[in-house]
Amino acid sequence: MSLSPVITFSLYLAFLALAAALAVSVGGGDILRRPGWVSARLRPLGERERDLAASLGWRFRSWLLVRAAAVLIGFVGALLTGIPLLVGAAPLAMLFIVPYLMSGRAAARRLRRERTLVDWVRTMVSRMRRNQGIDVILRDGGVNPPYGLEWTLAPLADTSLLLDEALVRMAERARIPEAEMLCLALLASRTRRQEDLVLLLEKVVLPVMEAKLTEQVDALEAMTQKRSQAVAMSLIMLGMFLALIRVDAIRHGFASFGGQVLLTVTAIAFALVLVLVSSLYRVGTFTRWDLEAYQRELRGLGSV
Amino acid sequence: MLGLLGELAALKVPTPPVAPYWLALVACLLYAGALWRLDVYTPPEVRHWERLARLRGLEGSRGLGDRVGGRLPALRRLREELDIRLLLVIAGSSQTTESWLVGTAAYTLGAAAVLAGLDGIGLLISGQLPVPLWLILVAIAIVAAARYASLRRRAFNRQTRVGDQLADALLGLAILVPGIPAEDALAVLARCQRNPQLAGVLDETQMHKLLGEDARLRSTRQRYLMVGRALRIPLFQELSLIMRGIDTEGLSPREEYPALSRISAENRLAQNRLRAARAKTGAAAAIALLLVPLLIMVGGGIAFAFLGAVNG
Repeated sequence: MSLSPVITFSLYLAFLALAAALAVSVGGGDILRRPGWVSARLRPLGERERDLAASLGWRFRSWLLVRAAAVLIGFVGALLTGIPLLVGAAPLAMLFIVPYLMSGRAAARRLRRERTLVDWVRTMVSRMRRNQGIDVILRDGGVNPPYGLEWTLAPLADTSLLLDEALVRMAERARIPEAEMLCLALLASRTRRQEDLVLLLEKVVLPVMEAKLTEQVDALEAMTQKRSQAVAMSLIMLGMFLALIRVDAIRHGFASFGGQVLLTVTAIAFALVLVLVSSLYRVGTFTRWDLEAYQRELRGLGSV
Repeated sequence: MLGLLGELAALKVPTPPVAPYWLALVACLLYAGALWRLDVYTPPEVRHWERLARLRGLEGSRGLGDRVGGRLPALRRLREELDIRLLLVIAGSSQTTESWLVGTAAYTLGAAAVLAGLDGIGLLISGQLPVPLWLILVAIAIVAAARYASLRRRAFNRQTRVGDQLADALLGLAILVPGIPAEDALAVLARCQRNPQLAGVLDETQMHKLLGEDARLRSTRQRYLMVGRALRIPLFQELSLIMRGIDTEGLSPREEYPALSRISAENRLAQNRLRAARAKTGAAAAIALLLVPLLIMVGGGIAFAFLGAVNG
């Protein structure tokens, strides 16, 4: 007796699906993830966007508006070309291109802030060595902040806030691990012997911050070089595309099904190379701290 | 000419006797095996330690794989790389090796089912198989490899992150320890990190799961040492050594913890710089790859123009 190929394949399929389902149920339902999985993945993305906005010196809402405007421009521009695929692809591309283009500027600005912060800590240590109180130095930092740290240090000038609350606010505004590390050190040791704090800042905090700064400079240099190459190549691609679609035959070709596939392949290949270049220059970061929780813990221990 | 060839074929060329060579090879292998058995390749210090451990009854029975791995580091590394149980432990997964393997089977069979489904549809529509059967086997292999790579990446990421978080917590430890015990200080700091990976490792339940029930009987120092070994994070071991130095040799926590914190941060920065230097070479090649999409687009455009011209 011979079965028809369709029935044979259906049987194969049913067998494989059954085996897969059985394996899932025996293996503890690994495929069906927990409900919180999506939100757990999205939270770091949101934090990254907030960090980028803070590095640019923009409010998070302004940054979101810029992103939305870029998507809208991409959509309208794609509508004008008349190529259906671009109507979906261009807004999506704008979603990623804007942070990619802005991240160089953000990194440079952030580096400037970090450098100013290191200088400020150095000044703080030198003033503490001249027997000035840490509280006075911190308040003074809020009133006369160094250039570039006005927004970050502003809470220190707010006398309605306790100094440890002001330090937590300062770390929240800075959104850089180095500032959080500094506030972590200051929160616990501000109320202890000043000599210990000076030693800690001099022997640990400052050397680490300085080494990190050097690394950031190297990374920024390399990143800027590669980014400018990638931007130049993107502009060439855009120019070529605009030149090509001026020819009727090519524009109709791109609008056909084959042309859509070709453009999709081009876009995916381009995005993959950009992702590859970006992933090669990922600088290691320091741990991020929840200083509010730290402050609560210290209060519980009676240290603050 | 043909006659000459016939004569040559008729000649009986004496074949060299191979038996002595085989015997020599077997003798060499036996000799090497005997030397290995006699621990000739083991450094004398290790031999002495092993003897002492045997005498004191401290040496556990080691399997063949461990013994071979002890002599061949490359093999040991390979075993560690493929040790699913170890990778699951480092990744902090609650799965057992068996359930992970069954899960992998589910994914591979699912992929095979999808491709076979496509084949079935293709057969219905055109009477031909759109996906060749060998491709299904390749897909199975790729899915299994991807799942292994994913587990390995998870394990590596967790290992790195926990190590980094511990290194960063050392700064806080340097500040808090004179006031409170190191174990409590580390727990406080771990709870205040935005990514609670270190807190997960230090959690009592997780630690017992990782180290077994007798972890309750161990001191904090010993537990950190065991965690360091289990997760392959040397900083835990260094921390344990410093804690021992503080407890037994009177070292100052005010000096030791900041020093360890600074050294670990500098090590990490040095590694980052090395990685960045390596990445520079890769990035140059990656930038050259940007030509590929450009060529696809321009080539496609020219082809469309050509086809348009041909079709009038």
